[in-house]
Amino acid sequence: MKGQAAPRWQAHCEALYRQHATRLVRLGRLVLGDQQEAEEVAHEVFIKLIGAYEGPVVPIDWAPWLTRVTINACRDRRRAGWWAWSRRRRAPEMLELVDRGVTPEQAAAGAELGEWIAASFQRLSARQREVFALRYIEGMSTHEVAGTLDLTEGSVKRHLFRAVKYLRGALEEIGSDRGHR
Amino acid sequence: MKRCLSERTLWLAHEGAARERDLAHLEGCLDCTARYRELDEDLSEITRALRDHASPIRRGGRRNRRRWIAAAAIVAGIGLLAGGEAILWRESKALVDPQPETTAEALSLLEEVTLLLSSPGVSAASVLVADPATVIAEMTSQDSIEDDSIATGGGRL
Repeated sequence: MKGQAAPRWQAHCEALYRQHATRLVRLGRLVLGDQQEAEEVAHEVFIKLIGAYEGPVVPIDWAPWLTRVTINACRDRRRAGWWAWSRRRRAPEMLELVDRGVTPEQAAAGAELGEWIAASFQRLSARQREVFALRYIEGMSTHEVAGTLDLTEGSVKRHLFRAVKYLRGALEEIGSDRGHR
Repeated sequence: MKRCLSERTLWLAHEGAARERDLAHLEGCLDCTARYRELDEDLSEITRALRDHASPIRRGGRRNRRRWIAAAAIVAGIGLLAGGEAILWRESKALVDPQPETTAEALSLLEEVTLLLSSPGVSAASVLVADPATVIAEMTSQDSIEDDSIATGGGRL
């Protein structure tokens, strides 16, 4: 029995990995602002996926489950003291565009709009990053985002609007700079 | 004249959560329509940038490089410490446990000193005060005299 179940289980896990790994790494990277951390989170999530197979209740829809577990894993990392310490240490490096005093002019001149936006995104609060990533990058509805993050829809909208406002401001900074040129 | 929509209301309209009357205003107001289009474009640009952009920073490599440098520095430091320690240990061992040839030299010297002190007519004080070369010369001359007497005495007997 077990000999027959194992390949099927493995095949499903592999299929889920192929289907969702890139998405989950991207989500983790947006929330944590660190590629390496995001990859580690994705690995952690897929290990949990194997555990979930052995659990009493196997989720029917894996995509939202994976998203939720990824967000929780990111939160756990953020809460962990060592991660905060490491991030604080790395912060000037990670946000070099912002922290090293690279002005919007320089960013625009270097055609680094993406970097500028990504750096601005990392300056949002953790909650705003989560909400924005789930709503606009993952394409969830505000209702689904609220369910995933255990928030009310009103709270999701509030965080989302603030994030949008901030990022548009960052975009406008570059836009106005381009206009001056 | 109706007031134009606030930024938040425009965004709510974009989210599909605006009220009917706000949507009606949006349809009829060129200014708000332009702002709405701008919001839509901005959101598309931000979303595209965040989707496409691998990371806010291409920092993985730099950070890894830094880690490697730190690791190399630590290894080099440990190597230097170990090397220094080994040199010191070797030197201290040489002091505590001298080489066999050194021991042999020391023993022969001690033997000579013992012989010198035990030889007749030589006091310890005179040996300590006198010039070593003189003492050795005296010793050898005494030996030759003794040898001669033995030889001559032997001849007489």
